[in-house]
Amino acid sequence: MSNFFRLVYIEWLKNSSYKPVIVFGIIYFVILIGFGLICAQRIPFFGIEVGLIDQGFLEFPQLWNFMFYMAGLNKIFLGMIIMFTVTNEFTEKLFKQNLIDGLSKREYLLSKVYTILILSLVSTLVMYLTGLWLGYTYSTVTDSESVNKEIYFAFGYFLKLVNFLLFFLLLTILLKRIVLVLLSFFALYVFELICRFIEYKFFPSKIINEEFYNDYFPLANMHSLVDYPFERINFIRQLAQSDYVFVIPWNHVCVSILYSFLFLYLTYRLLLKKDW
Amino acid sequence: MSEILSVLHLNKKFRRIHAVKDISFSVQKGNVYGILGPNGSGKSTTLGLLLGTINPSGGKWSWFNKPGTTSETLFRIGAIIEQPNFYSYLSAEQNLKITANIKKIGYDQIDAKLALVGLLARKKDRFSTYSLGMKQRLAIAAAMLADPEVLILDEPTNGLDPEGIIQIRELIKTIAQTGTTILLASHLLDEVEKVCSHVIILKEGKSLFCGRVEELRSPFGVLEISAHNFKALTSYFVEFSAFGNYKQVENAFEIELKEAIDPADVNAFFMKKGIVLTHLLRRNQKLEQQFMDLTRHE
Repeated sequence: MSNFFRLVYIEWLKNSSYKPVIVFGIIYFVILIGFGLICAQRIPFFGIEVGLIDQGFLEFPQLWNFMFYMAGLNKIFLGMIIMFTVTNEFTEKLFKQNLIDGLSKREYLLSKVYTILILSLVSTLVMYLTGLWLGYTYSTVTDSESVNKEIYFAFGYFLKLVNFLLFFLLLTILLKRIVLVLLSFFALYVFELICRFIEYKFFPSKIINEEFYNDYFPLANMHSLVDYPFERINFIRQLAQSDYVFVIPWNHVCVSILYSFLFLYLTYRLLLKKDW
Repeated sequence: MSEILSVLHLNKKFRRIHAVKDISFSVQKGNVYGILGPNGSGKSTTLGLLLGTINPSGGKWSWFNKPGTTSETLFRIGAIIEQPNFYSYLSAEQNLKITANIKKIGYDQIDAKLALVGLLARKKDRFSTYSLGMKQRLAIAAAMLADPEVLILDEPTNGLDPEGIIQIRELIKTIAQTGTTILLASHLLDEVEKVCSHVIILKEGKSLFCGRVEELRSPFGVLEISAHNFKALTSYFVEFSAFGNYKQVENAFEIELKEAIDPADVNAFFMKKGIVLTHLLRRNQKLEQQFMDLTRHE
């Protein structure tokens, strides 16, 4: 336990006054909370007042689906924090100096993992509190069953962030350049899209219940943890005449945990095997 | 004297280069060791291996009689590798706090060590505002923070101006006087000669010599002699017990002396044999010469 605090404190000393961390941290949390505030407004849209409230955004329990899906969209800013701090440590030979001073490779990785867990936890908590506040203000139902029924989304969101940030950590330590990390991330995204298209086009017989093998690729799997909430917008629900049934995607949760450990293992191997 | 470090058959192969070839040496407590070798001779790689940042291809070593390099070993070592590595956006004090936390020690030594290197007045200033000399001195403060038993310095005066070089050398001498064992890697002979008591010579990844600086330097100096028919001189060399190895340098001989000898006796001896010496000079051999000889033979 004392080692946990030591490693977290070292991370705090290293990063708390680093400009990119402060800038991206502020941007991230401003957007996060700002989004919640915008949800509560009626916005004029081509002459019509569009209110997210009217579309059921702020109704329990689907509020969690909306909130955590939208919050997931700006996770790249958290990724930036990881990328900037870690690339700085590798290009400036600070990692090497840390090793020489007596921080083991395992401890170095642990300090980053703790940072990721804490960032993800804080982000989830902020979103959870914003959701509670908006829900109790605007939702027509506020009984505890409705409030807690889909609380899975908080967990799914947390897991998604951890999974995403561990992936970024691996890419950053592997490539050591911010541009390369972003490019390779984008390349993987495009690659997954192409795979999805190929699967859709050439193997339609294998796609049962709109399930793709592609859903288990790293990025698509992360996405599936907190799925699109748009089926649940009142307006679309009326159009599609469908009733949405909420199911916890346990398969994606398991795969996501597997991916997280895989990313962690690969990062550790990379730290061990390479000469620094 | 106790052994701080012993290295046995250390090897490191990178993809194309065999950077460290079967290096063995040992380091005893309280001495100042110079690791001497031209650029690319494997000095930094050797230090990287011993500090655990580079994985070895073969061989073993032990610090303080414990095999390998662990965090606990590293807490007893202070090291500066190649260039001062610090968080540029943090102050000297903040940087040393990070080092202190990594080494699991308190902050009470920070001011003392900053004072030692003359940076106490600048401790609140960001690292990026420091001159190269100050950065290097901060690196020494960081390495000294936990009062290490061994201080490892890799090219500590590289790129410094003359004033900076003198400051760093004085600092090394001050630290050496406290009984801290020092390992100083350098390609500058002059530096090693001025600071070190022992020397390890590396060339192309091989260690050529490991011992006291005086052993390397012939303690009685060398004698240069020449005569008109100087080639005839060699036949008389056996008659001098003080004469060691000799070699021809242009049209003179350079003789290593194994014991003290008065040049006047040499002169008198050749006079008796009917040879007039045109050149007779006894001088102390510079380490540089010895180093060149050693590396040339290989």
